[in-house]
Amino acid sequence: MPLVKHVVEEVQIPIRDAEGTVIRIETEMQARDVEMTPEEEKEFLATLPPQAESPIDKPATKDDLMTQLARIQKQIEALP
Amino acid sequence: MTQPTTYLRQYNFTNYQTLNPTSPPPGTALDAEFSAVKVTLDGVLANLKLIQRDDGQIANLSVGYDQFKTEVVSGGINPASPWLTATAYTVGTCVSINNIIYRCVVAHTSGTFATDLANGKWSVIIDLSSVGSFLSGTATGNGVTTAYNLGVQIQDVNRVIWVENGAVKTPTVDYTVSGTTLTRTVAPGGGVAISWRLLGSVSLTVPSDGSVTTSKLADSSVTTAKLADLNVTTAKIADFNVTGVKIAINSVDSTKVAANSLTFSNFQTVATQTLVGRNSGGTGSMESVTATQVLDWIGATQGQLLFRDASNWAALGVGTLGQVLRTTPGAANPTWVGSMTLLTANTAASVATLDLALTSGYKRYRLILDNFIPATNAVSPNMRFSTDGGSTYKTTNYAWAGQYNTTAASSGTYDSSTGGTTAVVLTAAAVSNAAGTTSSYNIDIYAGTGSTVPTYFYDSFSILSGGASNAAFKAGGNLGFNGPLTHVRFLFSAGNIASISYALYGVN
Repeated sequence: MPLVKHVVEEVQIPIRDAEGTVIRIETEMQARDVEMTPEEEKEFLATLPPQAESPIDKPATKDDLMTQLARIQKQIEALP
Repeated sequence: MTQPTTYLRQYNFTNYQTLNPTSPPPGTALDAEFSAVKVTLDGVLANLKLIQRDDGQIANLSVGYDQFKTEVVSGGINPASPWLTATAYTVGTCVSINNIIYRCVVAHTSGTFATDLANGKWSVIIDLSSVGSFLSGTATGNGVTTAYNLGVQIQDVNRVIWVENGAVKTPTVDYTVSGTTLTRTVAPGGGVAISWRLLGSVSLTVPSDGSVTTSKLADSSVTTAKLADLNVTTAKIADFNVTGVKIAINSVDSTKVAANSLTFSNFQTVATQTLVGRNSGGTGSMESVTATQVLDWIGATQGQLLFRDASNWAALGVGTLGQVLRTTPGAANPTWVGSMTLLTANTAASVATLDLALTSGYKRYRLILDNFIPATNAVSPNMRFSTDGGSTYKTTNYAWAGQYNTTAASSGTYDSSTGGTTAVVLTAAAVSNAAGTTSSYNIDIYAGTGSTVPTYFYDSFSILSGGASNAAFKAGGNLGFNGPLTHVRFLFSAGNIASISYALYGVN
């Protein structure tokens, strides 16, 4: 089953008079679900962002805190 | 003295001579005749002596009132009437003109008096022109009026000659006088021609300059005609005596009203909560004007705002949907700014990505995402951008940093150095797909132009695991590539988007 992307694009809608002459162009956004092509799907899956390591979901370890401390210390030292 | 004895012949001497042709006339008869003649002649001489003096003139004290004819008794002439032209005059008719009384001596129809006089139609009876003017006048009876104002003080009733239809009336008997009024005993009948003349020197002596005092003038007798135009001065009018009816309508102009003297009560009343001005078109009278009408002079379109520019009050046109009013310190006009236009709003479900076009023409965009729930449990919500019309989405150079807080009072920082740079990670925690999970985001995107690096700011609020753990995340960042951005994509680190509600606004 192919992946689907929900696409919202700007479309140009011509407004015509009784004689069929275009008198103005109105722009509106239209939403639609579009199946990804195999190429798109392949590329999409290849570029999925990695699952971010959540600081909320995982208690900080000593190494994490030391890393943060080192970074903060480095920032402090960088201050004039 | 009786009239002399009438002489009557007593004897016919012709008959005696016929019968006695040879006898002498009888002496006794002749004596008788002569005696009778003597008696009559003596009577005539005696009566003649009574009326004739010895020098042939009429005897003194011999002519009395009864000896004159009627016209002589009534002044010696027929009553005189004012001369009129085109009038048939008979001999003996008297007229007056220029204070001279004339008697008609040749019957004629009048033309020009001087011509008639030169042609011997008139002879002078009395010339009073050298002794001054007589006041005179005419009137016509109406059967009712008895009092006639002669316009001059009358000292003596006998100085007035009053004639009605040619008949001279008798002073005191037929009329009396008082002041300037002559009162007839009986009202002259309708159509009766009245002429009167005042004898005396009413105008014979012209009063010396400045000698006629107020007491010589009858009350209420000085008429308008006696006052020269433009001669009544302000001092002649008593204070507070000129009433409104003496002032002509529409005649008092602004120069007659002292400055700062009219009070509000002098003006026409106006309706409550109205001003005095003019709302109707063109020049015209003042009107009652409402505050709305006054303000409509500046701007009358619904939704306009009034403000003061450098020199006048002006109207700020109606703003567009979502605009806010911006004022600038100092001398500057207010303006509408921050127009926020809803570009699209919808929902999606069971899709791998949500790809939104960022319509050009806006300074920035605001995205509101609700119910952004993954199909796969505990995955990261991510955001990426495209600069090529949505053909590709950048997978590198995302830098972001933020702070988070949870219900456990746990706070900390979180950034791309640990969260990754292949996409913007919208929360500091994975999103649950459990029922009741809330996953909401406010995202501001500055799309940038040309070589300007786009930036973004966002905050999110998540209730994970059905409320077991709340987390709020606020972050922002720069992109490591140039704008302008054309599209934005939302996705999860794994699996489909189970559901999402989105609203995209363009902001100027």
